[in-house]
Amino acid sequence: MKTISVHSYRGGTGKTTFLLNIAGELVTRGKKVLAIDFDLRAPAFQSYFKIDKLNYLSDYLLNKKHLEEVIVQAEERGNGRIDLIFSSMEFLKQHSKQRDKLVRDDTVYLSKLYQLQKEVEENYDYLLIDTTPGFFYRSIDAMMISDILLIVSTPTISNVQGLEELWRNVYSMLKEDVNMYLLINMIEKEGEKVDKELVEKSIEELKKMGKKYFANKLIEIPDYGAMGERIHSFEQEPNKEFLNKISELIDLLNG
Amino acid sequence: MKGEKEKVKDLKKVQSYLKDSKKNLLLLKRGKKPRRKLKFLIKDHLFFTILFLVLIVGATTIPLLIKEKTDDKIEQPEEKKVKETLTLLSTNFTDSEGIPINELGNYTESSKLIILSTLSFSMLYLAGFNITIEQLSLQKDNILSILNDGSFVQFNNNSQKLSIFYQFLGLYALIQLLYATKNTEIGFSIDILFNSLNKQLREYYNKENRLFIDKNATEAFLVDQSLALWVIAITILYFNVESIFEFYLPDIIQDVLYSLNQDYRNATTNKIVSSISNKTKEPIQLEVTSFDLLILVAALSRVNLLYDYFFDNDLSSINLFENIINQYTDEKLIVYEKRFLNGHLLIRNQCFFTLTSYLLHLTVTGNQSLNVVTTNYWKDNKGFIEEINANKFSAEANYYGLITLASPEWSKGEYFYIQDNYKGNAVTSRADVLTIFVSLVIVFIINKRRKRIK
Repeated sequence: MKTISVHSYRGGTGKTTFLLNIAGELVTRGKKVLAIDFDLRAPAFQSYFKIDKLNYLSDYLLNKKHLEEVIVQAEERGNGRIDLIFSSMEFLKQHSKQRDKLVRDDTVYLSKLYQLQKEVEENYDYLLIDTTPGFFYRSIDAMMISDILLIVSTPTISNVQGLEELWRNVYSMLKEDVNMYLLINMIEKEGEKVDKELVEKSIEELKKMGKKYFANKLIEIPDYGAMGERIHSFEQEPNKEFLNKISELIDLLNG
Repeated sequence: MKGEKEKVKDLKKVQSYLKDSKKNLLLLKRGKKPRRKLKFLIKDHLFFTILFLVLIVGATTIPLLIKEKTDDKIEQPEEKKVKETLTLLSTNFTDSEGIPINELGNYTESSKLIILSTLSFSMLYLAGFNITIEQLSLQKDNILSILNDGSFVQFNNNSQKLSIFYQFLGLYALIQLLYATKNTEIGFSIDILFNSLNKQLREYYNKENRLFIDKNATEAFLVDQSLALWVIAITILYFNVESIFEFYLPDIIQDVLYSLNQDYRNATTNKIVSSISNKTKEPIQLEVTSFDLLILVAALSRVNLLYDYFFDNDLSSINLFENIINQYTDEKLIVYEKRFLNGHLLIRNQCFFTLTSYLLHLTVTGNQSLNVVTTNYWKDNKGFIEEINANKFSAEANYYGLITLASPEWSKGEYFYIQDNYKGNAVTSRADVLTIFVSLVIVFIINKRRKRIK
């Protein structure tokens, strides 16, 4: 089983969309995928999958539920299958003490995540983990147990600066253990006004970083127009260019 | 908005979490539990923590109160002597790059001196002497520069490996440096140690003969077996690991102890010998030196802490230490090189006698021996000499002096460190009972001899 985590400096870079579209494409290739919403501060899987009455990842992390109770079967295509583990903001809001436990700097969650990885490795080909953006202990846990780390950035100055800081303090310390790729997402958000000059400058900076820090393991996603919160492999009218790019990306990650 | 200082502090916390997590992930992959920070354990088990603290305070203060009345007063750390020695070392025995030397331009002994230097600086730091992070960092750079593909090699000559003894002394120094730099910014990967130990075990451990053997030599030395045992024992005790790659360390200890009993005892005289033949296992060098025995006792003192496996072994550190005191020391506890007060009076032997005394918790003996080093081997308020009556300063002598000065406080810290880290059944009250017993026997021997002399 291969473990891939997706991380970014800021929210809104499209990392969840990429992660779930990678998952969708893997499923159409007949692979068994478990995707975990580990973005404990802003969980987003429920925008893509309308599923009610859930148990959440936090239930497992806090030893309230067994693993099989928090895994949800979502979609099957031929031999392929995607199962999900959801997170919930509501849960964190209601259980402030548990939330404190989840954000604190305690290795117990690394053990739980490692235990989860070991428990599912026989049943899945891929474990995909969506993480909380920025410097967050639980995101570091996810990166630690990953084979591949996909770092998503949009071309903005703050993302460029944040990425530099993340490299210095986190990514550089993991470079021996985890295979890292930098993904530049150039898809413009619908209705958002952008300063073209700043975007160009940021893209240049990101490319330089890709060369300097990530040994040119750089993926550029051109602007295909709005992608929406959907998984194109499961759609009747997908954006084919986007899907081709995702397919190319998977081939690259698989070496 | 957060201030810049707070941000840097947060980033440091993230880096430190990442470093700890790397180690913890390794533990998890080896099927062991990760190390949780104390504050979380306390929060989760508040009741048991309070109970535990009450018991600990009771268990530590009461014996101390009783012991205070019987023990000699422990001297204050000899800061000034350490400072003078470090000055002598840096002016006379170090080149401009910080590499230890015995004479300018001559690097033939540098690898051995780097090992001793790393060992002494790490021990001084752990003993609470004023050693800076920069000084430790230099030791790290130096010792890693002589580590080539897991083996310790001659300075500036990667193809020439050091002897078995120095391979294991290098590992011992590396372990102390790891222990010293554990919570500092210059900490380094434990894998360097494990890889190097694995390399030495592959290269020198002969499973069939149950001995550490240099294939190019004809004899196997007692001191090599002892030092290897010592290193293996503290690897288990400090890092709570039992396997290094394909090697199961307790089995190696058990096997080497068996060989020490069987092969290093002269069948006719029942005395321990200094070396045996690689092939026939017949004794070659019959006369065992105080240094040979001291390293053996030091090793056994740590092996004995691995209680479950080795406590019942025939080799007794009590008897051996008693023999050293009776046959190799005079009434002032000056250690001689050879039996019945013969041979040279070397600081190296006095250093290991002091260190071993503290490892066995023989504080009074240790203090007396420390006093020998600081009076008989300390010259002109400058530094330490190699040999009584020879008046020769050397880099090596000064490193031994520093190790001796660090010994009392370092050994206390080591014992608690082992108790914190080793999760086997070893360091228990039964080991403490053994310590009390050893103390009583040694105090009895020394008192008896003093009365005889009077």
